[in-house]
Amino acid sequence: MGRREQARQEAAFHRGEVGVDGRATEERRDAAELERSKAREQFLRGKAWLGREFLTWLLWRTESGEPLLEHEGAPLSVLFTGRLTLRGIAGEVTEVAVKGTDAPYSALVRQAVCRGMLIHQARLLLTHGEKVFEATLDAEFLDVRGARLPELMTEEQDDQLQERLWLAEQLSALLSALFVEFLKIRTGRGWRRTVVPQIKEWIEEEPPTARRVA
Amino acid sequence: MPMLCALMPILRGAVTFSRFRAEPVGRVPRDSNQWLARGLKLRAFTPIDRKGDVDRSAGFVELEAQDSVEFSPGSFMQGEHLVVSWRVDQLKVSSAQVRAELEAWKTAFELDKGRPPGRVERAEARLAVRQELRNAATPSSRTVDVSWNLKTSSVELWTVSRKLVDEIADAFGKAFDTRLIPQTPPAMAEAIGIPDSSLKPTPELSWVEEQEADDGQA
Repeated sequence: MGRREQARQEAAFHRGEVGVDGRATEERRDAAELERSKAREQFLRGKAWLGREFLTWLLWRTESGEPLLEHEGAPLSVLFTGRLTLRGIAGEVTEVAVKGTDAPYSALVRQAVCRGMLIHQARLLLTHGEKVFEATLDAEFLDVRGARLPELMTEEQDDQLQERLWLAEQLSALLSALFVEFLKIRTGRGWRRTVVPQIKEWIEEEPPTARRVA
Repeated sequence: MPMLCALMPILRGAVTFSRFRAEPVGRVPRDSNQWLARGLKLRAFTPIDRKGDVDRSAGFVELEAQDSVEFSPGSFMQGEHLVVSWRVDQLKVSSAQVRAELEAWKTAFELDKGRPPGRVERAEARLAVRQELRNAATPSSRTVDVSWNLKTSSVELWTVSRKLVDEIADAFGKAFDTRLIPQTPPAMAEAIGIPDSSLKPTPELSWVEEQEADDGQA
């Protein structure tokens, strides 16, 4: 055995990767197990489950199309639109992505939620009074991505900058208001007794679009 | 002249940002414009020193003049907002290019001296080649806009790259003696006084084992 190879084996022994017999100390984990462990880590990182439960609750609450709350005197309605990503930590599938205007409310998404997957990223259309915003949200940070702001009313460049800043803040405030509303419900007594069973019932129902196709 | 990649997303196009709230640690002085300018200058951008060995430089610049770090109040105040950019310059020397140049040097050395170069000679040549390529390289430059509503304390960093977000948040905190609180789900829950024990995963939704959820783990 060359000196380099010997040094490499000694280093591996000191790192605890191999025993005195030179064999690996741990059985190599298979790919599926590794994938599940990664999914679990993502679920735990920064309490990502909280944002995922929020987006999943929001999907359920928005199906009726009714305003969810009043913010600064104007009603706020939300609609999921376009691409949606779900992630889970149990079972064979750890991520599902669906695409299509009505995809978020499809039977496929309900089935995924029914199997323990939660929404990780979604494109939302928020209507606040007469203003319409569109943005992609992720569950972990609630960052705003690729958002479209309502049309600007001002013409001067300085005024336009201030208006865009104001609209971006409005969007941020709307998202915070929705999340605080969710937190109030989630920390209330009715969350596991009433709300979660209602969500479970909803995901087990056949969505109206699926019934139409059938 | 560095290559500027993105031009002020704050002014046009689709909007991407991470959300924060600013909480000053100390007292905000009465002349806030002077205090803000001082903070910005404290973390102002300085170009990369070609003679030095640092390949990256980052700091605040004016929004509409990304080579300027004068920070007169008119350049960074827009109504009740402070608006600036965070500029990052990076010098990159490709290792493939270093290898190719070194190979050419090695051939020339062998022809000249009639022997291959020694280990020390090779190491010295590598350093010289790298420095030469570094001197000739054009730094890449990117900017991220930063806006702070001084009335509502809302701060937007116009990027979602975690590395940049963390770097800007750190510099922002040091420049203005201010804590930037991310508007992430756990931070918002904490801000409204919800204890950690009430934030465990819901087992019926995420299929986490009941015991694991009770432990606050999954």
